[in-house]
Amino acid sequence: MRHLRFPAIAFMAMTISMLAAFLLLPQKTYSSTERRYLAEAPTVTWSSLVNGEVSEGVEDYLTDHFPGRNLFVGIHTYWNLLTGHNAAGRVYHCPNDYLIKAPENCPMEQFEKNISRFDSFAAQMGLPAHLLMIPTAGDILDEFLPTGHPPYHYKECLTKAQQLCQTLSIPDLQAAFSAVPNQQLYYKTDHHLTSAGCYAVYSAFCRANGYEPLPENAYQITAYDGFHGANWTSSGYWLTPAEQIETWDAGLPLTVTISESDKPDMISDSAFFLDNLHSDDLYTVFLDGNHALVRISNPAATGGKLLILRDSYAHCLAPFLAANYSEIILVDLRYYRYPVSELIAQNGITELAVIFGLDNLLTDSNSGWLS
Amino acid sequence: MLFSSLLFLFLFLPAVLCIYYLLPRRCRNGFLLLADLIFYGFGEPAFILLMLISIVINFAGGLWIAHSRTARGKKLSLAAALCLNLLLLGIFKYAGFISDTLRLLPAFTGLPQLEIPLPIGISFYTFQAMSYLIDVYRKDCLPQKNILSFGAYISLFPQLIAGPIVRYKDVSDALANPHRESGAMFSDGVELFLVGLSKKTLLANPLGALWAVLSENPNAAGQAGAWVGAAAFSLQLYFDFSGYSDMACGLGKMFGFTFCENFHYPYIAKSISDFWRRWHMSLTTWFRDYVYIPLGGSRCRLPRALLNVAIVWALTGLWHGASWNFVFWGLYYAVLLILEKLFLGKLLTRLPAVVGHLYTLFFVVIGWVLFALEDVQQLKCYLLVLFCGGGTPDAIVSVQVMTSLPLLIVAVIACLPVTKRLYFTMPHRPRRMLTSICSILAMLLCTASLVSDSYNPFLYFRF
Repeated sequence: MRHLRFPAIAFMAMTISMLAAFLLLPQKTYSSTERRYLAEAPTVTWSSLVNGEVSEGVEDYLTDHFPGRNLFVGIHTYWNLLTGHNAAGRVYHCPNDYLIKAPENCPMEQFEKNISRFDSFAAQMGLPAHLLMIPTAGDILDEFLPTGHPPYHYKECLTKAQQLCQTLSIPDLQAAFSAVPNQQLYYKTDHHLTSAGCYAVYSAFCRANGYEPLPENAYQITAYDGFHGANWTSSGYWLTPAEQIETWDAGLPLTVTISESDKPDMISDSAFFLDNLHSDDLYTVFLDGNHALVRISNPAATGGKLLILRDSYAHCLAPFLAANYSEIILVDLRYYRYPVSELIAQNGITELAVIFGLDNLLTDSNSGWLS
Repeated sequence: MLFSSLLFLFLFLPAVLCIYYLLPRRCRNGFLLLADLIFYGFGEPAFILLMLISIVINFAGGLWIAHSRTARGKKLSLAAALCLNLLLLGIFKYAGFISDTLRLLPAFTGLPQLEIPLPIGISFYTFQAMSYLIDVYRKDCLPQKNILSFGAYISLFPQLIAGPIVRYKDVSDALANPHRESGAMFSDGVELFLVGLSKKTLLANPLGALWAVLSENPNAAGQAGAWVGAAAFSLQLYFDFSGYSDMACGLGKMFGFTFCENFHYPYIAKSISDFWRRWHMSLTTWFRDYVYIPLGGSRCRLPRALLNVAIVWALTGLWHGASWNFVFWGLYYAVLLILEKLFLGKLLTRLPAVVGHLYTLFFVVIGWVLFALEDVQQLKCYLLVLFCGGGTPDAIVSVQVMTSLPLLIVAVIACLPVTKRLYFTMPHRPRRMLTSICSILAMLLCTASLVSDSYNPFLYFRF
C-alpha cells in the first residue's frame, strides 16, 4: 500500500486507536456529567442474536462508552455556537459566563391544570396559602440573552395564575427581583436561584405577609468553589468556569428530618449537608436534594406550621423560611403518594405554600397526585 | 448499520479493513462476503437468509442463461430468474401495498392486512441482480463462476443499503483482480468517504431538523417559513442521498472497486430531463437501459413514446416506495417530462438559462414536498400555506430559521460546482494541505456530532 496520503493515514489511525481505546480502557458504569448509569454490555444468547437485541445492545454500549465522549460532546456544542445556533439551543451561551436555559415551548394547558389543582386544594384546606412561582433565569437576565431567542413566559403565566386563583396569593417575584439589581440572583451554570436569590424571594414573601425578614447581616455566608450546575452538564459548554455555591446560615436551632418510605429517617441539626459538596451535584448541599418528605423544626421560631408543596427551588429557600415557622414540612409530589390533606390534619399545619420553578409548573404533571 | 454511526465507523470498518488487508489476496472476496453478511444481518439477522437465497437464485440464474443453447431457452431462463427476483421484491416490498389497494374494492374487502417488514436495501440489490441477469443474457458480460465472488458483488456492503446500483460489468474486472487495491485508490476512497460523511452529518442532519420543525405545523411556519422548509428538505435529501453515495463510492475505493457517479450537481439542472440525468443517475440509467429502451424508448410513434415515459416514471415512483403518493410523484415527473418532450424543452432552450434553472428548481422543490408528505391532509395543508400563505411565523420557527441561515447558505454553495472548480484551480501543495486540514476537521466534527446525538443527560434531576 504505497502512495497512502495523510488523510487516509490519519483516518485509519483515528478509527483504529479509538477502537483500541474502547477495547482496552476500563469502562465506567456511571457518568457523572450525564448523571445516569451507562449501558451494560449485552448478553449474547441465540434468541437475542436472532431478534436483533445484541446488535442494539452493542450499539448502545459503544456509544455510551465511546472514548473521549465528553470531549466530543464539547466539540459539537462549541461548533454549534460557532455556526450561529446559540439562539436555537436548549441552553444559551451568554456573556459573563452565564449558561441560561431556553424557555419551555409548550401549551399553557398543563400550567393551568397545575395552578387550578393547587388553588382548589388550598381552598379545600381552608388555610392561608401562597404560590411562589419562581421565574426562570431568562425572565430576569434579559440583557444576557442571544438575539432572536423565543419569549419567556413569566409575565403571561403570572397574569394567568392571578386570574385562575381564588385562594392562593401570588407575589410578583420579577418585580421583587428588580428591587435588588446588584445581586447575582441565579447561578451562572444552573437554573436554580442562588442563596442571594432565595433571600430576595424570602424577603418578598415576608413583606407580602406583613412581617420583616431576618436582616442580611444575620447570616454567616460561606462560599464553596467548584459548582457546575445542570445547565453546564446538559449543554456541553465545558469551558465555562465553575462557580461558587454559598450557604447562608442564620445559626437557627434546626432539626431536619428526612423521610423516605423504604428507609429509616435521617436526622440532622443543619439544613446544609456539607458532605454533598464532594458529590456530582453540589446543589444537594441544600436539604440533601430530592426526598419525599422533609421536616424542618425550629423551636425558637414564633410562627406557625407551614406545609410546602415544592420542587428543588425550595431546597435552598426553605432554610430561610425556617426562621419564621416553628415547623416546615416539604412534600415532593413525585415521591409522596399519601394524602397530603391527612398530613395537614395530623400535623396541625397553619399555612400552605406552593414553591415551584416556572418551567416545572409549565410541564410537570405530578400535581395530579395531590389529594 | 448506518455508515454515519459510531458502530460502523469505529468498530465495523476498522476491524474489517484490518482483517481484509492482513488476509492473503485469494481469500479477500470470501471475507468480503462474510463482512457483507455481518453488516447486513446486524440489524435484522433473519434477512441474511433472504440475501443468501437471492445470491443462490441469481448465481444459478446467470449460469443457466449462459448455458442455455437456444435463444428461446435463454429467454425462458431469463424470464424465470427475473420473475423470482420480482416475486421476492413483490412479497417483501409490495404485498402490503397491493393488498391494501385491493381491499378498497368491494370484492376484496375480506383480504387480510399484510404487515411484512421491509428488508433493508432489497430494492437496490434486487435491481443489481436483475441487471446482472439481463447483461448475461445480452452477452454484455460473462457469468460469474465463483459463488463467493458473486455473493460479494450482490451483497457488497458499501452500496448495499443505499446504492448506487452497481452493474456487474462495472465491477467484474475488479472482482477478478486480486491486485485491485492501491494506496492512491485507498486514499481517494477515504477522502471521498469523509466528504460523504460530512454531507450527511454536518449538512443533511441539521437541515432535516429544520425541516422537521417547519413541516410539523405549516401554519406556524407561515408562507416564507414553508418555502424555507421545502428548500431545507430538498437540500437535506440531496446531501443525505449524495452523501451516502459518496460514502459508498469511497468505501468501494478502499476495497479496490470503482462505482459509477450517482449525483452530478442536480440542482443546477436547466430542465427536468437534465435534473434526472444528474440525480440518482444509477437508477435513471437502470430504468433507461432495462425498461425504457426495451419498451421502444422514444424511437416509436409519439403516443407510444409518451406512454413509455409514463410507464417508466410510474415504476420509478413505485421503486421509491410502496404507496400511491410515490406513484403520483412519479407520474408528476412523467407529465413534466412529456411536456418537455412535446414543446417545453425546445422553448426552454430559446429562453435565458435562468428561466430554465428557476423552472426546474420550482418543480423539483414542489416534487420533494409531494415526496415527503405521505399524509394527504398534511400535504394539502402544506401546499396551501406554500401558495396561499398562512399565519405569521411563531417565535420558535423564526429562531430556527434565523439560526439556520448560515447552514442554508453553506448548503446552497455546496450544491454548486464552484467550490470543486476553485479547489482544482489551487496549486498541488496547498490543495493537499487543505485536504488534510479539512479531513481532520471532518473526522472530529462528524464524530462529535454522532457522539452528541447519543448524549443524554438525565434531566429529571433538575426537578
